[in-house]
Amino acid sequence: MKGLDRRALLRGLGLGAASLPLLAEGLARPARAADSGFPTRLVVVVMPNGVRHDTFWPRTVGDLVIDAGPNSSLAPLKPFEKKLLVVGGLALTNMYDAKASWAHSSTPFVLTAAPGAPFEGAWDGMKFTGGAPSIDLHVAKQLKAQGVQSPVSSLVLRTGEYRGNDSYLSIAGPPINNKVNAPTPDTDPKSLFTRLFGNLDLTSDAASRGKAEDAAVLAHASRRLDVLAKRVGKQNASTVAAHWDAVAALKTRVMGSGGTGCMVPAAPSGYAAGEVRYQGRIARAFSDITVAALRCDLTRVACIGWTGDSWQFSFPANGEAQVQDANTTGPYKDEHGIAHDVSKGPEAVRQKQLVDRWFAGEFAYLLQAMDNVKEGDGTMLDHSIVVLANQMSDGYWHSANDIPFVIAGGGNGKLKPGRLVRYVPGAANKSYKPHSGLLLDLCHAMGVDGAGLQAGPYDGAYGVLG
Amino acid sequence: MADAVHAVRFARVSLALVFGVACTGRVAALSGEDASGGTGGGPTTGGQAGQPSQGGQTPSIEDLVVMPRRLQRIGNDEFVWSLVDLVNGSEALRQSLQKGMPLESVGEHGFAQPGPLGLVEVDRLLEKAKLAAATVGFETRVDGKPLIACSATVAAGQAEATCATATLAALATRAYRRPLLTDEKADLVQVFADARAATGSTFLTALHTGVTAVFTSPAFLYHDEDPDQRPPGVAVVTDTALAAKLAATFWRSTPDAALTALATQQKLHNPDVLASEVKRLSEDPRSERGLIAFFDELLGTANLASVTRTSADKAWTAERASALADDLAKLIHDTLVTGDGRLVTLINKGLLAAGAVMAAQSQSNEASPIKRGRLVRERILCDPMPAPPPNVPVLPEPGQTPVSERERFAEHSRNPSCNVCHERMDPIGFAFAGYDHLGRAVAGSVDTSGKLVDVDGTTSRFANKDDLFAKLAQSDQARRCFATQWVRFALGRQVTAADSAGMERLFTGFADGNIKDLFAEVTRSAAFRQEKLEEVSQ
Repeated sequence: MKGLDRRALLRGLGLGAASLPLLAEGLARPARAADSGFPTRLVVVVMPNGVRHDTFWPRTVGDLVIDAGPNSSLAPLKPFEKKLLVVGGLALTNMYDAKASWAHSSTPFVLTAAPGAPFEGAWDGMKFTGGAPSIDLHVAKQLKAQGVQSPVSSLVLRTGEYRGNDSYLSIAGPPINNKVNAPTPDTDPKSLFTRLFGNLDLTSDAASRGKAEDAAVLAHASRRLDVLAKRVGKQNASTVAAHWDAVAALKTRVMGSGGTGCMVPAAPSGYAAGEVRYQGRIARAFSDITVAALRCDLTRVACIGWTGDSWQFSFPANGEAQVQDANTTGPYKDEHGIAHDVSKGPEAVRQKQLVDRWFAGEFAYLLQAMDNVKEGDGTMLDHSIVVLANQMSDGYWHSANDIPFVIAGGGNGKLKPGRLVRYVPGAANKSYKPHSGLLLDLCHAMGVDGAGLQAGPYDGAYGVLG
Repeated sequence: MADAVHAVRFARVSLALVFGVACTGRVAALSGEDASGGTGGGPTTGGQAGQPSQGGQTPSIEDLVVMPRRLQRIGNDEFVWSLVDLVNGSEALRQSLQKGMPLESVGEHGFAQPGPLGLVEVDRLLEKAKLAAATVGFETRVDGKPLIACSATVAAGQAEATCATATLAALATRAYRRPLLTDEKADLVQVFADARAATGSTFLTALHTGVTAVFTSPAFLYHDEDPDQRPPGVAVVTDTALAAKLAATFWRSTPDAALTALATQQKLHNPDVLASEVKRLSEDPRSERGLIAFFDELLGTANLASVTRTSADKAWTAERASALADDLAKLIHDTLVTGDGRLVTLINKGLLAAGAVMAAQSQSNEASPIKRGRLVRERILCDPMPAPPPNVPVLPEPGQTPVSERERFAEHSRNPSCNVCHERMDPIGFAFAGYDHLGRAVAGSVDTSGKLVDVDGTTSRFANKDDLFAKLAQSDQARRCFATQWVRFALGRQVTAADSAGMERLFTGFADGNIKDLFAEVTRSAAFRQEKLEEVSQ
């Protein structure tokens, strides 16, 4: 890991001199003043092909208690029990309303809250795609409207192959001329790394911003503002107070994160550019790059799709699933097939649970990386909202009812974690609740307006997060 | 008879300027005192609705309204130029400081207005302060004298604390634009001492920390040159504060030694001394900074480098944007710093058709007669245009149909809802048809004729752009507008009806269009030299 300051970052983003002023503006970030002084970030991760429900859900609603035993799919997340909110009983109603009976076509609906919109290029019976922006791109756009000018408005990442068209997670808006309106995801961590952190000259910059010196200078400014405030009176109080608050928040950031807190991760390696065979390695690299980008405030929003159908797992004797990598040996089974095969006996069922558990472990890796970043009195995880969703409920039935959502972090105080909430269809309402209300909750927790996200007939916000 | 006609017409112009003439043709009384609609529009003229000034008396320039003292932050260019001057920095340092400065909003007076400092701004200014501080070395000389008050040999010994104290005190006195307060000096010395005590520090690195503290101190970032409590009421600003205002207005920087010396001797309010200093400041090469800031904001050329053009326009590069800015700066310098300083010269030399202006007042893919006409209308004639209505018809794409530019834009004139404003903008904009959206002259013969609708509705036709310039150069409205714009810029506020008497005096004095004299007159005004002190309530 190498430390750097923003000047190095500007160069590192690989833009020419003409672009520099614009990009420098882009580094205008911090926060619309969360009390912590650190911005609230949103990371959405989507895993593929549903879960095995009997081993996924914790047993009791209310205070979250995760079983750490071998039969629990969420066991790797046990260390984060107090920082997790697990929500069940939600459905991709917008997908069903689009007459897409097969969850093959569910992907564009997972992160969108509006009814689907017709598009050209239907696949496998699918005639509709997302009809409004997905939560990640909507939040990124709204943050920008609030004046947060991130160099990269959001990261749109995808492991493995994707077909395009119907398999986009991040949707920019309704189709245009019947074509899907979505950004092409980054699929290669190496090119992403180069784009974000490449070509850095750290020799002078790393030393140019000393943590203690910055803190001393900011402390001096605070003292002088204290004196000034007493002299200029109420007429100018708001001007001085705003300045004082900004100095205090910046000092918190500087002290809490080691200088700017901006660190360049190790460059991704171990696979050829564009190679999707080692999908676990790619997922890991995306997590590292995402955390580094958040830490450097290059962006505040990321969407990581683990939804490509190229996952390959083996099941060695140690009882855990092992994702294909250069140093593993087969035989491998593809994850898509595993999800389909749960009707084929106990071993197939066990394998599905192990695959779910592997994804939970990978999510835990991301959470741990965020929790390792100290920010003031908390961590990056405390100041973030990290969502693990699934493109369907279970892989065998291809159902989109009871989609599992695991929400981690504190959201700068906007989330009340450590709970399990399950909405269960009852006598009065036999349908699962639309997941759109949860997306609206996430929107509000990020401090942005939900207008435009939920352009449809579904429920409003649920208020389930706080 | 001619005088009578002029008087009648002048009254109509004044009426329009005071109340603003909406494009509907109605004379719209504005709700506030201001005549412009709040966007840097119309200038204010004498009395109420064309009434003569009080009882035939010659109103005093002192009638420009004195405003209450408010804590005013220094602007971006003042921050940058001050740092460059304080450390005698290079052009490369200036460029580095300039890049990525926080965005500034435009005040209701139509010029940049520094807003409150938030986290983004503090973060950015800290970074810039460190950048400037890091250039300080034993070889750094300002006004021929070493910035560091000792040699490297002395700094290596026990006397380094004394050296740091003297260095920081002298620097802060210049940066704060006033003598240091006792506790300020002690505080800076403590910052140095703490930094020096850190493992691995050197005299220079610790000094840099102290210098950074100077550059991020509120005493530098705000105009706070008069820290003493004084009784409430209208009072002249202190000589120290006046020196700071003069340096900020003309040089966008801190006072130099000569200005500071006069302030120390309390001579600056002497009219002769003040006039002499204004002359010195405005003829110094540094005056180009204030002038360029004024014209950049007036003409919309401030951020030329960030103007976007379609990717097909390979000719639009940072170098070209820079070259156009340099051309504009040279025109301003040659006319106002070393030239005759007259508005008519400035206009006739082609200020409004400068490449920078043409490029800035264009669409991303084509020249815009609308933008160019609107610039003249609003910023040169102070005739504010309302925002476009909804459902503006889409013009044909350039080259899409075989029609002339005038035909394309004629849609605006045919549509009644567009016509009432566009007939006041587009025909002026056609004068600039000889320049494309990159600010280049268009090859071949181009029709640049058009018409100029005055604020009173009278129309005069011009044969080409030079003809338009000649009309503008002789336009009483343009002259009054220019004076109003400078007052807005220099005072950092809108001009209101309460300023009418003072403005009339300024207009009269500016009858010959001598811009240098105008500068001097404004600095003599009560609004520039006085302030209203209020009871400080905690």
